Amino acid sequence: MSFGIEVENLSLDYGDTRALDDMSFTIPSGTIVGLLGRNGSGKTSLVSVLAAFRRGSSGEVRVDGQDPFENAEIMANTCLIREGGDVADNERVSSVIDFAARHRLNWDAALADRLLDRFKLPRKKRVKSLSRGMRSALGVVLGMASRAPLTIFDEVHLGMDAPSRYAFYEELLNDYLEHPRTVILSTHLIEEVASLFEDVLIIDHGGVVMHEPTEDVRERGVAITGPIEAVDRFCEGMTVLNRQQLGGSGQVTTFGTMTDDRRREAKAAGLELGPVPLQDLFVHLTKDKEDRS
Amino acid sequence: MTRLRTNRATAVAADLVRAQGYIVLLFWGAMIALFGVISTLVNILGTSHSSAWVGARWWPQFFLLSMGVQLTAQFLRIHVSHGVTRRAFALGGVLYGVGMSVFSGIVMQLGFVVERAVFAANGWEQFHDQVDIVASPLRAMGSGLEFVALYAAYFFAGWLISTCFYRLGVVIGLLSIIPAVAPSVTMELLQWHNPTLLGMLGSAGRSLGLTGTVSTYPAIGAIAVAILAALTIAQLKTAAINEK
Amino acid sequence: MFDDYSPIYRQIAERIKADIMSGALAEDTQVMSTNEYAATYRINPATAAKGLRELLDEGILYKRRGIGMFVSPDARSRLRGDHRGRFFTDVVDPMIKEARTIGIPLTDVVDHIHKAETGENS
Repeated sequence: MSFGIEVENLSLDYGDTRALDDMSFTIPSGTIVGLLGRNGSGKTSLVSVLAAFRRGSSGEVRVDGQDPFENAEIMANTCLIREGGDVADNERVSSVIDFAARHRLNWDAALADRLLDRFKLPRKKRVKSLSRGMRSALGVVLGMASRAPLTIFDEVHLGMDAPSRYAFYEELLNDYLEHPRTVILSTHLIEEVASLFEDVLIIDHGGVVMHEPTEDVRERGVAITGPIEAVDRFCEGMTVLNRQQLGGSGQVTTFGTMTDDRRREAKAAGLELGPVPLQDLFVHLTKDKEDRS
Repeated sequence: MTRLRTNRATAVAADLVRAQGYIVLLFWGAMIALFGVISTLVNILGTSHSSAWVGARWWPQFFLLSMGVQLTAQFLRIHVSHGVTRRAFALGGVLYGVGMSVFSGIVMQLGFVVERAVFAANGWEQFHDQVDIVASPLRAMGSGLEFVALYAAYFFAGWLISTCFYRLGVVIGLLSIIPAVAPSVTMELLQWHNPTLLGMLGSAGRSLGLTGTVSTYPAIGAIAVAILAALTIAQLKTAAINEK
Repeated sequence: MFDDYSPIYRQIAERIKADIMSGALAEDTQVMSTNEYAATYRINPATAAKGLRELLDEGILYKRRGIGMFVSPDARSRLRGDHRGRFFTDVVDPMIKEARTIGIPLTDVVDHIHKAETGENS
């Protein structure tokens, strides 16, 4: 069981500030999507609307074909884990787990137990006395063991150290393989999780910059290196994300499908073509206009 | 898909009892220690004898006010983030508030009944210038209902105030205090102290226990609770769950 | 495991091809399922599926309904043929270019290759 998502012309205003600006996209049910955006790009606002934490100002959101806001069925089956952790700070870890177990319809107690052990979370400790990393890990346990048809992790892993983050990625993938569901993972640490994403949804300034299969994005980013005039000539008419010049030679990062003919053409012109790390593509795609060189 | 297992509102009320039950027990433990045990001892040792439990009667209202105040601030976020609708949360809060008020009213009356037995055994007079509110089962029921109504009016006032703070900010939150506690303060004045006000409201005595007729206060209480709860629910239904 | 940027499905396909050519994956043996590849390499199953689909399309693998994917009987010879065809352009030409850039005479390279053949520096 998993939920698909349709968003049409969604906008969200906080007073005079526009957090989401006429967004439209569709997330097929059962996919793991990377929601990528800089700080303040609208990631948290977007997932808050998807999980019915707040209502959009205009436009439409449908989760499993229905408006999620105050929809008992959809809300019960949607789990958004935010970095702060929406749990009772004064309670012990064990009662926070019990609370979730009572409210989550597909709760897997055995999985929760195993994850608590794996992340070395002390069950007796009160939430407020946990370190940031431990709190994040607790969020991960709640999000995973809920097995919600729509599960969203909003930058939750950022507080965790690298070994815990990798443990999270591994657990998430393994559990997903056994219990496919729709997962949205918002982050700006892209490279280490990118292999988990079927699609990436890149947003900036409250709008969708790109929404494509991760593999397509990787394939379309090409770094062209060689004598700068030849590089420039070759890149004419292409989408150039970045251009760097060092003396007579230079490198241009382009984004777009490159046919085999074009590749041969580049080779003949003495240019080298190379892949571009996803993180670099993201940085270039979400660069402020004034930063662009 | 797994169906919704239980009625979500009762689940919310159960959560609240789980989270706050121990505070309730602590509170009543302290009340019994203070006004029950100690004051009874004072009665036994002293020369003049009068009900000590009467002194306990207004503490539950402040306790319930503070419980109401905590409700939205502490529990709305964790419930909605665990997939509970605001509506179910609000209804659960209503169940909890009414339940707590009824529980408090019953404990108050039980206190009077126990005290009455102690006083009767010693030949003391429990109430001097006040109505004997547990003189008969009917009176006990009537005055118990007054307690319940009063406590509920305080609980829902607290809940409305904290919800106003949550949704509308500090200024309106502060301003909301006056109208929110107006009904409960009025009721309190009516119940125990002010025959003039009572007369204006067409009631012949100080409490239902005295007159044996249907009192104005439970009616005021019920209306106040309904209005306060409706205002609270209306605000909760569209509340956003902000980041901490 | 994988380099960070070229498409992972392609890297999966290349790895399977390499295993077939080396004989590690014999003909008519079953390859891992999409989920097994996903779990082993910690990648999205859709990505693993894309890599396997490419090999199916090329005829390197074939499908048995309800069981899984298997290495085609002629996969190894075909792959070796393909790679032989590309060997000089993909491997030897860049090597010559590199040798020239760093100033190794091609005769030295040829000598080195001769020695490999006679087993002197294996």
